[in-house]
Amino acid sequence: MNKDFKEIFSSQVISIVGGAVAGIALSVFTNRLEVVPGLLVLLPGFLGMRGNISGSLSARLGSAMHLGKLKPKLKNTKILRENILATLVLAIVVSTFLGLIAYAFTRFAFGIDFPKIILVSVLAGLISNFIQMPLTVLASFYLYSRGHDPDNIMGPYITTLGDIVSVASLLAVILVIA
Amino acid sequence: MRHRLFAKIVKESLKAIILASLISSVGGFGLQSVEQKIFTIVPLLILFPTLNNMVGGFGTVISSKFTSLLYEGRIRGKLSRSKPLRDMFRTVTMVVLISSLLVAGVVYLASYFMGSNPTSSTVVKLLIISVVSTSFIFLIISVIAVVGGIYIHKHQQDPDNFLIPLTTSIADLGTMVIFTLLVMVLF
Repeated sequence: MNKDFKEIFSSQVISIVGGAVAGIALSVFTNRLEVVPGLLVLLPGFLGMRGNISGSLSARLGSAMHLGKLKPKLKNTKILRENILATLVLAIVVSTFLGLIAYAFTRFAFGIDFPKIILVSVLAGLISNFIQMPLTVLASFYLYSRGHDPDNIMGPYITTLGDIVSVASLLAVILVIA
Repeated sequence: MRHRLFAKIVKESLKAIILASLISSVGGFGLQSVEQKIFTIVPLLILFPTLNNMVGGFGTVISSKFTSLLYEGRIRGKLSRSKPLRDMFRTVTMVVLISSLLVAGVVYLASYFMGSNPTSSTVVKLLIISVVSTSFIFLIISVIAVVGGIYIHKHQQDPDNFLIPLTTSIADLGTMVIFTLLVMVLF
């Protein structure tokens, strides 16, 4: 078995397990999910957001550490502060956008007026990013300081962690407000 | 200038992320049309995020590996005679096939322990959805990665910046479209 096969396959196994855990969490709360119109329009974009936002954050931190601009330590540096701020702003903007799309689709395609879906998206997006962001930063620092290349390992880690945290945040918000 | 890095990150990322979100939401429109089936057949609800996760990963793997081959100058002459390219596709194809079988197995086990106990006919259908979706999307993203990668590389740009968001978005959308169609036909 060659090295490439082992690395690709093992990262895919991690992704499969993460996806299955997210699916199990969804199936446990099927009854509550059914009462949220537009949830299936929101879900794919919401799950995709973790790679687009946390994945980019990890890649930027990885590049900054490789270039020597950032040390793998939790310090209030300009690079770290502005990366975190940008990640939060992106999360709020994208969550709002996803909520608006889900609302518009259910409103015009099915005639169901459910504006709470926008609130569900924004709150769940904020909660999941507040959990994912520190874990992404800490994992990138830890891996780099242990001599690993975060670029090689963070992909499946973020996908798996993101799926679980995103679905849990979405479910928590739905259980409380929907 | 204050917050220059912050402004740069938001400006450069926003368009790509909004576009990716829009593409994913279009796939979500299809899922919404089979909502009742997804919510009533437990294995389908577990299968969707699992499949989506896995296929998106293949987009990243193929794009980044092909880009590395281009940068290393290992893609020369006819593509069909390129040994590194053949080796890469042989390895990834093996992973694709084994992973798609594994997905069906994991979903079956998860459904079983959730008390759903899928029938043998449902298991075969899960297997069909997993293998057909994964193989079909793998084929599409492979063509896009190779054709797009060569085109972008010829134009002196970095294929990594363009191919990864493109192939993962297409993988996401394609998975949702094929998943929706197969659920409509099989269930």
